[in-house]
Order: sequence, then structure tokens, then C-alpha cells
Amino acid sequence: MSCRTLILGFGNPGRCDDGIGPALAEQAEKWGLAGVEVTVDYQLNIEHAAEVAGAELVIFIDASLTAAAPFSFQRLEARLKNDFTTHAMLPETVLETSRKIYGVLPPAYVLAVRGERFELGEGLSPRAREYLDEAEKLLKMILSAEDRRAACLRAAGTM
Amino acid sequence: MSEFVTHIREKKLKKVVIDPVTRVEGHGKVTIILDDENHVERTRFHIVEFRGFERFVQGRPFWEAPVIVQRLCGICPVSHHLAAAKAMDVVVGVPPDKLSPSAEKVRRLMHYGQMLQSHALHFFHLCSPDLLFGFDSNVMKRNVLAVAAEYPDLAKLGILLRKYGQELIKATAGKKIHGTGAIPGGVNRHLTVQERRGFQAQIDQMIEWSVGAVELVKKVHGQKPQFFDTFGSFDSNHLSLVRADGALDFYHGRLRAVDSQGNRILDGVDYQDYLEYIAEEVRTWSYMKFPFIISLGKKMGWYRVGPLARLNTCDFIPSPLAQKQFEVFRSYTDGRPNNCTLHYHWARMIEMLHATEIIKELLADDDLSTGELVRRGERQPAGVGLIEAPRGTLFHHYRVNGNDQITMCNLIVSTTHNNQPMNVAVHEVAAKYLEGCEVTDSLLNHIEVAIRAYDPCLSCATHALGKMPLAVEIEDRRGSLIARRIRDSRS
Repeated sequence: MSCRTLILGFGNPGRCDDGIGPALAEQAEKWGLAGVEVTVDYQLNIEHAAEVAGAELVIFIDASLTAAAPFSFQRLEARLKNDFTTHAMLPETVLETSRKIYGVLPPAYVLAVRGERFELGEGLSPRAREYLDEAEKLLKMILSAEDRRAACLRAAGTM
Repeated sequence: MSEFVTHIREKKLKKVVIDPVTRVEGHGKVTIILDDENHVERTRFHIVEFRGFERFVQGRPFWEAPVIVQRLCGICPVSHHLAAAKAMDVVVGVPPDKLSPSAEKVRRLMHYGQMLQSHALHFFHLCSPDLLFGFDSNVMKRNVLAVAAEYPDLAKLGILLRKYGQELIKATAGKKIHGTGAIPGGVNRHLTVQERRGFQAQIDQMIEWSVGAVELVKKVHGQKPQFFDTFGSFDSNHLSLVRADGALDFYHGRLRAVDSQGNRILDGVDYQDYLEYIAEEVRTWSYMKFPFIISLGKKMGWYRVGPLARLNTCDFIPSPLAQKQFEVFRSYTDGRPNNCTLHYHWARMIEMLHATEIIKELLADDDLSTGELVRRGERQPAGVGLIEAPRGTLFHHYRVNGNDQITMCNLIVSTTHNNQPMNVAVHEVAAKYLEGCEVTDSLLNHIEVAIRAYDPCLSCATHALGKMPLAVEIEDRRGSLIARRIRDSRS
């Protein structure tokens, strides 16, 4: 049976490929799959810990400058990262916040899709669009699986 | 944690660069220049990234502006949304007094919801580590997760207050971020009676928590009053919108500015004419401009905006519980303006309380669920929209051509107004706490605390994984780069 799954796509669509996370998350929402909740936001913040705490599986989706193209898919460990701003938390820190405040730590992964252009502007670059299409196939496979958590483990293991 | 570099240079001037400032939005860089006796000679609070949004919107249809400009900031997009909408109201011939009651109330609810969520975020998650653990505590402790570990109920309360405000935004704007609720001439949706009931069921709890937050600030202040009163403090002018009767109003009003003693510099100014009263100075070392009141000139005309300024300019707060707290706040400085930088936190929590009271009032108003949404008037070639954003007065000014395209955009954001005050605050703190070339972690945080009081929003740009490099630069006296150190945010 599918577990309650939170898809958390984040990024700024006003900065070209930074909008990959929201674009893919919105795509996933259109599939209308049971047990899948989609959140789109500009940046991660502390309140997302409350959403994480209510899920059995979490997949963060973000653009990346450093991931190998077309994307990477990795298991996340909860950890405190003393970043220079809490206005934009890292996924690992959101997990740690969920653990600290709610005592809940669901398995979580980050789907990091390679981006190329991050200047002011709208729309994804052609290359990012290709990468997003590839990442979409993986996401659909995971969310359609009978056992999503096992599907995530397998996917992360092959990366 | 931030990094810093101390460098002794050939002409016996030392430059200490602190980059970035932690726990403010976006990048920040502080440069402290010491003389050969190791006294602070100059300080500069830099802005690293240039946004270019004013150019970005040129050529776009004017009705898109309220949606596009929200991408300036992920924390208070509603401020930009509403300021742009107010400017475009004027363009479509619907000045503020002609807006329908339903449209104005839906917008107000959106805005006061935003004020609640933004102030809650700032106080509980950015400032509470400093206030609860002290500025000298271990750096690993000065973060929201340490608050969550030691004060889990307080951390949860912060999340719930913020969440409530965000849900109000979602209900009125359509989405938590990049909503479309406000359109030129009005809004595009009502709130259903059912939605209102849902919010009404929780609002008394929000008010109670907000009262508790004000009391918490007062309690923390009471433990070290002299320290809180003097830390990074300095006399300044203050500017904000106030309602026609002198009341605090976050959504609309006329410009008022007072000096450090409370004498009025500007009053009753229609913000459509702001260019006659406010100008901006450009300095070579910063992308951010330095606004000033024209009649006082560049040197004396700078001013503060935001919660502290608003409580210094208004005559009263039009809600009972916040008014009671306002009276205590004002009596603390014998009715004169409060110039204590750390009292921004106190003022911010009084404002949060006021926001919850107004939200309650609005939720009881049937105009939210029925009545005219949009009006149209005679098309105008330009419009100015001002709003009191969480961080202070926000100016949006547009010109629009006959093809409905934006041809000019001028934005003065709250952080820009506070540019000079933040520089002064940094200088005050550095001069007091920095001696020689020894920069301790404690000293570093004292500087950051002074900046954070203003809740600056420096750059909400990209947050892609692997983006956001942190740069440390050392320059010589002529501005030549001597060294640079880059650190990735995930390292």
C-alpha cells in the first residue's frame, strides 16, 4: 500500500532554471496520485517541518548547479546546518527541525535536477527542460510504485 | 557560521571583512576599516547582488506587475503584490478612496496575514536564539533548532502563528506565494463564509499567543534593560505611512516623518508626490541606494522605517490590546520617539498583536464575502503605490504607455530606506566592541544582531543547491582585490 508522500518542490521561477523544483512538483500534482501531497514554495523554511512531520516519505525537488546531469537522487540525513540565513533552510535542516520539534523523521530524498541558467527571467532553458523530462520519468516511476519507499531506496542505490 | 578575515595592510589600515551576515535574508557583507591604532575608522554594510527588477518589468503589460514583482522576495511577496496593485489601481483610475469596500478588506486581510507570518518568522526563528541564549552564547546554540530543542513549545508556537498568516494569504491571494488575488482596481475573489469561520475558530488563540510574545520581549528586556537600550542605538528620523487620523495603518495612509525628538518633518504627504520629498543617493561601493528627505539634505535626511519607526510616527494603535502595549512602549521614552535599535523587536511584537486583532475584526465583516470586487475609472499614465511592509515602507512607482506596457519602474524597498541606519548601527557596535585585529565569534554576532534588528531583505534570488556561494574578499585601499575565499552553502 502506498505511503503518505510529500513532494516539496522549491525554487524561484523568476530566476530561469531555479524554477525546476516548482515546475516538476506542479507536474506531479497533475498526476492526481492517491496519497501524494504536493507543496510548492519559493524556498524552504521552518514551517515545512510541520508538513514533513505528517508524511511517511518525503521527496524534495530542487534545481542544482552541481548535480551530475540530468539529475541526482539521494537519501537525506537530518542534520543541523548553521547556514547564514534561516530564511532559506536546507532540506537536511528541515528534516532535523521535524525530528526536534515533532519527534518525527520520515525517510527523505532529494531529487536535484541540473540547471544551467539562473539569471532574472522566466522559463527553463532547453537543457534544463530535457533534464526535467528525465527526472519526471523517475518521479513518476517512484510515485506509481506499490511500495514507494522501496522504489526510492532502489533509485538512490543506482545513483 | 560566518567567516571573517583580518588583514594588516601596507598603509597601516586594516580591513576586516565579514561575509556573509548570518540569519538575514540573502547575502550581506560587512567591511570594517581600522586605523593604525586599531580603532574603527569606517564601516560599510554591502549588498552583494543587484536584482535588476526595475528593468526586468519594463515592456511587460501593467496588469502583470502585481504578480511578477512578488518574485522579488519569498518572505513578503504580498507586500510587493499589494504595492504594485495599489500603483496599478491609480493607473486604471481607481485611487485608494475609490476602491470597493470588499476589495479593500480582502486586501487588508491578506496584508495583515502577511504581517503576522513575517513578524512571527522573524521573532521566533531569527531573533529568539539571540534573546533566549544571549549574544555571547556558543554559536552552535544561536539557531532556531537550539530553540526547538530547549523551548519546543515556543518553536511550535512560532510555526503555528506563521502558518495561520500564510493560510490567510492563501485564502485571499489564491496561493501562499505568487498569489493573484489583487488586480488593478480591486481583487478577484471573496472569502467564503465557511473559510472565514475556519479562521475565526483559531484567531483568539493567535491573539493570546501574540500577547505572550509581547510579554516575552518585555521580560527579556527587563533582564538587561541598559544593554538593550544602548546596544547599537542612535538618534534618527523615522518615516512611515499613518492613517488620516494619525492611527497606525499597514495598508494605507499618508507619509509622516518625525525627527529623533518627535518634531514632524513631513505630515499628511500624499505619496503620489513622493518625488518632491524623498530622493536617493548613489554611493560607489554599494548597489543599494541611500534615500533621504530632500528638505533635510543627504547628510541629515536619512531615516529609519519599519516597526520601530511606525510606532514612533503614529499617534495611536486602533485595536485595544495593542494600544495598551503601545502606551507602555511610548511611556518608556516619555512619549518621545524610541531610538533604541533592539526595541525593533518590541515594536514588532506589538505590531503582530495588532495584526491579529485587526484580522479578527475583518473576519467578522460580511464585506469579505459579498460585494463589488473590481472598479474601473479613467486611465492614467502613471501610478505610485505605497504600503507598510513588515520591514517598513515600500514604494512602487510605474509609468505605463498607450500600449499598456510598463515603461518605467522605480522601487524603494524597506531595506533600502534602512540602508544608512544599518550602516550607522554597525558602526556603533563595531566601535564599541571591536578593538585591535582580534575578532571573536562573540563580537561577530554582536554586529549581526544589530543588523538583524532591521530584519533586512538583501536578496531573495536563487536558492538552488550549490548556488549561493559565500565570498570573503580582501581589498587594498585602492579597491584592488588581494584575496578571495568562496564557500558553498552546503559545505
